Amino acid sequence: MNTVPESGGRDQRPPFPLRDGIEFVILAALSLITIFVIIPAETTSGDELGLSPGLVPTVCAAAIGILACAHFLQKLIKRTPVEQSSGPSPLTAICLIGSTIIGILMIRYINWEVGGAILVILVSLSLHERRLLRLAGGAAFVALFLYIVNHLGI
Amino acid sequence: MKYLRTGVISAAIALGLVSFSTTAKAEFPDKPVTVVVGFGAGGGVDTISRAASSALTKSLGQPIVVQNRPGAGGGLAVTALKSEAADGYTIVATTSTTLTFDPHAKDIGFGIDDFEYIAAFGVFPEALVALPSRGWKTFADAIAEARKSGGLTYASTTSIDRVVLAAIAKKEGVKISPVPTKGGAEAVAQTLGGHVDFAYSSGTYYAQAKAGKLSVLAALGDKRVVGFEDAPTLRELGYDASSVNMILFLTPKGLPAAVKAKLVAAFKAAATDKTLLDVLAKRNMGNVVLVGSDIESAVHEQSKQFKAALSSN
Amino acid sequence: MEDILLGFTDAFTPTAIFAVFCGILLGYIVGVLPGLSRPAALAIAVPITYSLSPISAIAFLIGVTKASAAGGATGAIMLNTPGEPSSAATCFDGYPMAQAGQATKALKTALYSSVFGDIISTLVLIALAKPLATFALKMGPLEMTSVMIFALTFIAALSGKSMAKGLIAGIFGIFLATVGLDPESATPRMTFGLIELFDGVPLIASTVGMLAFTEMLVQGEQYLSDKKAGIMNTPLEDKKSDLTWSDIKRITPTAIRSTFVGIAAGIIPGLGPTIGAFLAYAVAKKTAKPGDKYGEGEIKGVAATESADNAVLPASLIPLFAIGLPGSVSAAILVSAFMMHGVIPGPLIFDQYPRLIYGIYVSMIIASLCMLVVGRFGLHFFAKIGSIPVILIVPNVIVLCVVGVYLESHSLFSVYAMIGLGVLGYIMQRFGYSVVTFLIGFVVGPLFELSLRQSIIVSNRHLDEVIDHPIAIVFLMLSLGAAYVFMRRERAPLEDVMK
Repeated sequence: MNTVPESGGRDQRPPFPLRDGIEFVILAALSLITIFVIIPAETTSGDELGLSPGLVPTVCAAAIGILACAHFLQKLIKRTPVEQSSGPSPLTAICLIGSTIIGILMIRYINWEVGGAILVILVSLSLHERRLLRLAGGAAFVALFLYIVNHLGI
Repeated sequence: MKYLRTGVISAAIALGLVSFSTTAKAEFPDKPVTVVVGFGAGGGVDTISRAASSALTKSLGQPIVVQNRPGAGGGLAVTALKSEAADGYTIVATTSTTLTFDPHAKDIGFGIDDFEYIAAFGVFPEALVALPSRGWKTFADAIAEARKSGGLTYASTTSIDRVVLAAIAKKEGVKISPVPTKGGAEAVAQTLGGHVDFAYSSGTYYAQAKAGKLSVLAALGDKRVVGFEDAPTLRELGYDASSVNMILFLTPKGLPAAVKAKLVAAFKAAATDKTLLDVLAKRNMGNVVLVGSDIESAVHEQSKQFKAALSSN
Repeated sequence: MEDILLGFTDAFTPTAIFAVFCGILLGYIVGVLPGLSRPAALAIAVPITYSLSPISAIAFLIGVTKASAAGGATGAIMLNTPGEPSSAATCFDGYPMAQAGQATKALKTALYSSVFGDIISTLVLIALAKPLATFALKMGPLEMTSVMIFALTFIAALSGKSMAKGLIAGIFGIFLATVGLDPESATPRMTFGLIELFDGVPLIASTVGMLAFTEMLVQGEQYLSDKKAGIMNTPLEDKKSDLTWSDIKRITPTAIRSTFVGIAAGIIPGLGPTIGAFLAYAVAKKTAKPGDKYGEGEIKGVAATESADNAVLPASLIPLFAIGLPGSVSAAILVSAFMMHGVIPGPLIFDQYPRLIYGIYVSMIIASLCMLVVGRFGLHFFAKIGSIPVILIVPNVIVLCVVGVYLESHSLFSVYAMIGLGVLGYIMQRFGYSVVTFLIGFVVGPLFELSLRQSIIVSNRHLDEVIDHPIAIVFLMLSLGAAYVFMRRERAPLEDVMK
């Protein structure tokens, strides 16, 4: 769970909201890139009777930029004690995502049964499962499941 | 085992045949043939492809596995087909305009010459419809009204109807504004509710028109719509514009002649299947069946027409 | 009258009843499993029914749809992982209840509310299908635009702690939904030359990625940090809390209100069960009485979302039967089943196939009762899902996410999209951006854009014509009122769904 604990000693002068500042810079940059690079390159305007295809995306991107700015300013003015970002390390999530991607690539290049089994083994390993029997059992179960789905067509 | 298989074919048969398929060189077909439908389950293309598949099972002597790969108006299935082996085991079913229109209108990675055409079943009863209370007998009356009132709006569902009606509006010097909709059902509902002046519909209108809640102004095809023979075709109204949309079965280019002959014969046999004809009739798609070289030439002819229509706009 | 009797007999044939039962069973399984969504399952089931009689086929499919709506709650309550996107709102209160040891109570509430919403909605369908047809036709582009604006104001209601961040997430959803072929000019928009994106970012991939896959990442993290901290992963303990009469009395008004919200969401095309459930939740919260603890395990919250979710399908058949316009994705897939048997839903259906329609009505009631029985007997079986250790759940659910998304389109592209959106959803959650408001924007955004364009065209660029559209004005006023209330109200920190 990624709840950010709202603890942290209430100092006399809360410091600059660095985290919000970085978020703002990233969102504003993405918003500007979208408006000035991506949308012009990826939409074609013709003689529309309704709206130009680029209008809604542009308005959305601009609104995101403005809201991000508003959020940052709000934090800057009403400085609250720093929320310590002591959530769980993102390492686990990265491992899980990596395992899934490798599994999918195996599905892509080998087949569903092998790819599925590899996916399960890697995900289990990421969760510190080290019992060989469990790993093999889980892989075999998924391989069998995928075999059945594959051949019986659900 | 590239795709997860779903299909109407009994699971047991499919399992048995897959595991018993031999490596020995046998005559086509020696394993199940896959028909990839370029639209979602339950639509017109899907229903007819499935009905055709059961007929094909009989004539080919092998099970047919039907898969849906919807997206980009059939374009996704067709794009994927390009990289399939030309062995006759993968056939795509889609609307003919996916091949004859889309490559001219959009930047997509396939053209009409990348494929071989096996058969086409049925023609969508495309038509222009309006509320009877407008008092229009044919589309000519609608044009007269447009001239008088300064312009009409119509519910549009595809780029093709936009091209066709833009050509007409240009010729007549009137304003006909297309109102984009999500599909036939919405287009018909907008018309019934009186929110647009008329609608283009490829078949959804049929029941409402039969019930007398909509009147058919014109047929877009080369022939009048069965059941509404009073409505002229656009050609009869003096426009050099038409849209004939069929359900097309195609394979990658380079199919061995013997395999193609076999498939064409199988589709020809399937075309007389009573169930298939029933399904076509129920969906008001006529009993048009074209196979082999007939469909090859029809497809190329259509493609040329659309190309001309698009470049003139 | 004769047709009604004949319809009755058709619905009571052993085959038809068996079809309903199988549909309910399948639907329950589909509903419980995250990653295999209702539309995907329905789409796969339609061809299977090809050889059945029309009544059995449609009864089977209706069974699948109804039970998957009810089953979706199980995952939401036990795992905080909605089996269906439409049960996402059930997580708000269902999961806290399970955490507090009231799993059985929550599951029973969900089941009974589902059946209640379902039956009421079916009765409304039977009573109103014909008369309401005329009303539905009056909803033109201007009216639909106002309805969409109304739906979008709920982004603000569900924003959580930071209104700005909630809005950013919702607007980002609208933005992402603009990817694909432009609805008006049919030119590609931000597709980067990928034909797979012509129809937009796939919805199933988005919901599975953002809700189910992300949840697996979060669960995995939690599991490891608990393990490191030496906390034994104790399965949610069920204190065998049972539903009491006073509970039922407490939740009945909420269930009734929510059922009608669900019915409205079903009738109005485009809203669908997910928005119906969220709307019902928002309404329930707004009408909260002192002492109601929404977001912390309030039993009324579960009743609200589940009765609304199940009320959507029968109601979405009203515009379908009346004018052939499906009110939800599931109803749209049911159209294909009708068509397969040569029945075209539309104004003619009551004249041409009265026997079939009455048969379907009776089957729908049978399906509701069947759902009650299967759900009641399966309750403890399904509830056991909560005691399966995380180490087994995470890998298998990830596999299901991959397979389910793949089955939807038979393309690995959807799987890549699912992973991409899953990662995005994870990052968004870590930084406090609501995934729920994102999804509302994603679903409603494109409908809003299309209706707006239609309005501009039909009014010939004179949007002030809205003054002549009373229904549109009503919805615009409602939107203004809702926006005012949502902006002003002191936002109780609404728990982020997937936390």
